[in-house]
Amino acid sequence: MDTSLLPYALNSRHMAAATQAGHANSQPRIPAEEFSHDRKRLFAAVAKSTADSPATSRSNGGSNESADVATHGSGRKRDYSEYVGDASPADIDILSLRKYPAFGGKCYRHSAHVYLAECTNTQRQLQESLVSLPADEQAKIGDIWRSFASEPSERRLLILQGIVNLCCIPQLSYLNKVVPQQLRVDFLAAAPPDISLKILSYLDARSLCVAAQVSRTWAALANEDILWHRMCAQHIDKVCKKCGWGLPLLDKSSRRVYEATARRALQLASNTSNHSAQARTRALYQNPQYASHPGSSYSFVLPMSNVTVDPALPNQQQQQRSPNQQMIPVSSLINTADLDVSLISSVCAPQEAVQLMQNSLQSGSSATTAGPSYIAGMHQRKAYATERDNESGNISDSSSHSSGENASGGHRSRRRPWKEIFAERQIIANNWRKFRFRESQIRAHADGILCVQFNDAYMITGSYDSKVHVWDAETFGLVSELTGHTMPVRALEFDDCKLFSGSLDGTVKIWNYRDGTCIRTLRVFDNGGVISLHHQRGTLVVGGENGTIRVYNIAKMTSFTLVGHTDWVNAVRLYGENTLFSCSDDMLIKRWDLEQRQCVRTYTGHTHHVQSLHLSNRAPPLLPPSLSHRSGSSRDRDTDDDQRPFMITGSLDGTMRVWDIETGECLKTIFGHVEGIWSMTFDSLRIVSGSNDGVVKIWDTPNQANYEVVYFPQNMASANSYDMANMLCMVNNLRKAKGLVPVVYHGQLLRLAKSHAQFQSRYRVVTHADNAGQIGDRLSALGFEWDVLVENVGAGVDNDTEIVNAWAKSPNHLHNILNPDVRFMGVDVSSGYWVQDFASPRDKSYVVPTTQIDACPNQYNLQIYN
Amino acid sequence: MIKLQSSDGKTFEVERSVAIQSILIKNLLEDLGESENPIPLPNVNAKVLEKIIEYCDHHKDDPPFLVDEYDETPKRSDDIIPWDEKFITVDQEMLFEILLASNYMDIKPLLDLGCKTVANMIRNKSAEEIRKMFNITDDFTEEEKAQIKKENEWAEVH
Repeated sequence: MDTSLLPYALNSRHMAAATQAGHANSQPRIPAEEFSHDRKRLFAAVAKSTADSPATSRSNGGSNESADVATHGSGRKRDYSEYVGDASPADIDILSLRKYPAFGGKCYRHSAHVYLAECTNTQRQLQESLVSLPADEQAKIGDIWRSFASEPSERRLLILQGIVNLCCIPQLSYLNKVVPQQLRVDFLAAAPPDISLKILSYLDARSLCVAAQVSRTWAALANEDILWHRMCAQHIDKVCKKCGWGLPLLDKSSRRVYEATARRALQLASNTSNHSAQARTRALYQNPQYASHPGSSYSFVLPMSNVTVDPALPNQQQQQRSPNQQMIPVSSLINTADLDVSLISSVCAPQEAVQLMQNSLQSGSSATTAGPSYIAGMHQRKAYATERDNESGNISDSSSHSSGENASGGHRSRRRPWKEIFAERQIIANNWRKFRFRESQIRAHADGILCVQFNDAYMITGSYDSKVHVWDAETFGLVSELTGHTMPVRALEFDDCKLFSGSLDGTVKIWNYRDGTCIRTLRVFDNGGVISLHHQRGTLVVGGENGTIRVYNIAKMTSFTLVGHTDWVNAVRLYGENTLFSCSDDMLIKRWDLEQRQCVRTYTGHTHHVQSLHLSNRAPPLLPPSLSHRSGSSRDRDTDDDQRPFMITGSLDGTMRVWDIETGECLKTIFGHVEGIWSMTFDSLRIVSGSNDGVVKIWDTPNQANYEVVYFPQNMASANSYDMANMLCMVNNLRKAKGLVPVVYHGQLLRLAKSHAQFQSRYRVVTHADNAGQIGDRLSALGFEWDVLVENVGAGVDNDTEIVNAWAKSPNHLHNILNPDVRFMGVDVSSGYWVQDFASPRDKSYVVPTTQIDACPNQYNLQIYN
Repeated sequence: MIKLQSSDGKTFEVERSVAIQSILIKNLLEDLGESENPIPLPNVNAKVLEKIIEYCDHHKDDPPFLVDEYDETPKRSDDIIPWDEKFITVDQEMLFEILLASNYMDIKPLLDLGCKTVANMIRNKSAEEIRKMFNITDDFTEEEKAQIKKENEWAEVH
């Protein structure tokens, strides 16, 4: 037994020894090492009780005191660094970490190592003060301390009561000052790690990041992989039920070189980790006590760091507007072969150039992301893999799925911390929200582009000029030009080795797109062109101009025809083994059974040509939670083999509809575009739609205040000024027709409109959100006390007449113009982005001479009120 | 009635329904049967044990607490019922003791309550505020601090 016992011994059994030791030592000194001795002993004590199973602790009964226990060896230690080894933090079971008892009911202050340093420090200071005293004084004070230290806790209490009673106000005041501070407990450092982790598991990402900056111990805990894995599981590819945020799922097809950033992040991580962070926590798990815990271990496979990653980003292609056209139909917006990539959508129009916009990292470096293919061990982690399988297998192209697996399977050398993965995706999610992107433009064809497909390596375009161009998706250099079609190329689909192209000449050609050779030509229709196609697992489906659908078995080269639609078949989508969905200009969507070779269900509701159709196992955003639960929740997925995908269709009637494919019920109709929707795609976080009105809209999740953001192609319109008289005239004519009082310009509203128009044009977005705050606050800040305030925004037109006409056609915008309460108006335009604000002042005595502005046009109208 | 003995030798007599909310005690009773001898709880002192018994007594009629550790739904900490909130409004030392004791005695709802309470103390504070609140010494070097700040910057912008 350790005889150099210290004054801070805590248990009565030690006290005798401690007292002797104290007396033997004539120096009034409490050496720092003693703390560590003390600590060791305490750990031993803890270890003992840890080792006791509940049952044995009973038999030990009350004798379970630290004195007996000091001889026990290994146990839980706070000093993780002793355990740093090279084993990986593989098999961890948080449950197995559960059962440590408290610090044996001992003093936490003198047992938790974080406090030892502090106490030692204080001790050193005290000693310094002592030295200045005469020797006999030193000895006296030392004796007092030692005697106190050697008393058991009840007697210490008694002594203190006496001392407090003797204290004068200044001393009590001192106590009052220092004691509360000393009573604070560093919970995370002092509690067993499983409790600390449990505490942290209640925190959001932001709070965890703050916690990681508190101290080394906190950093080690707050960066713990278990926490961040959980955080990833809650947010990636889904909208978190708690915070409303969702992060993109990034995988192979959205991965791209991001190495620089990734490597930098890794270096940062490893630099810090050797000191404390991972090392300490890892040590924890390497402690045999936890590692060997029988029966319950769950291992999780961490994502690899050297998988390539991606500009992460929302690639979007948009057309350039030619100077003489005002509205350009966005004719196709097709998801890449993989549906489960994060919203990588492509949009193109019958123009000759393709524009790409990519969200970029804040750092400005070429953006990034890892595609970690997270995969996991047991339990729910499995759900992930399953989901991905399903998603890829059922919906997206199977070949891209398998290659994704290869990509991740090939390199298992390094693992990335989950926190890094979360961070990377958070940055991308921020980019989506903040409209940060990079834009590239390629002159791709001599004539309009009808279809685009891309993955991480290639982008392929089909054009009116009957050609197909294959581009390097990174450099946008031309890889190959595929010639052979005699009519415009309307549909494309490619995987790792081959490309299908469908043309209005009635053929589908199969290409080796890398070297540009045509492998085969299928003469699909004799009476009309190919409008759409989809290929999955050896089945090729082709939709035709004549309303028929042809289904090929590529291996056997057999085919059959499905008849049912009466007009162009605009999209075909295979689902599972035997199901096909198609949509057509005849306004119908049909579900086909490929075994029975017949239509098994028709979905009606659209009132114009149905142009696009997509399926997903995940509930799309904008659905009320009750509906998305139906097949969207992970719970269902675990138990429910019969997966029911959601279907979304976009139509020239200007709406998108979400369907329950089993019941044929239209779950939701999404309005918003002024004109017809040519193409759309979606993932679990957002929907992107391209419309004939020249607008690409991004529909975000409903619980975000600003859930609809609208991107416009660049150079849509460039108006920077408008005719104030004409604007007012048009508005007042609309109002007059409804018997409403006319509005007049107001200086503050003009300023409000101006700043917001500039905001919109700067970010190229049509929105009511503004970085300067809520609209009402912005107006109040300008000094306008209002009680009614409404705003119209718009873009893409060059003059005041057009924008008012456009607003007048839209019920919601017209409603604002015809608000009976408003008296004042402000309008502005910046680079084609329009803002129109209407308000009424709170002060109703504010009289506007409305009679004089009745006649229109009238110079008097242009008076600006303030 | 079940007798529980604290580390400092005090004996508490409680109803079985109160005692068995501690899974530790429940298992003990199931394994060894009830007896006249008090069950020793060498890691829990009388002050804390009394508090814990107060909690268990209040919650003795609650339905069994079932939670899947692997549940991916976000954990909430804003769902503390008023009685619990009042119960857990104690000084940090007691809160810490309750955490350790509930962990040792395996009373999951109480452990959750304690953890949520601490989490709520941490949430929405700056690192400096957290250090102050828990009397933590900042042991980072300036260099480390700058680096760590940079590493965690991404979370700042929403």
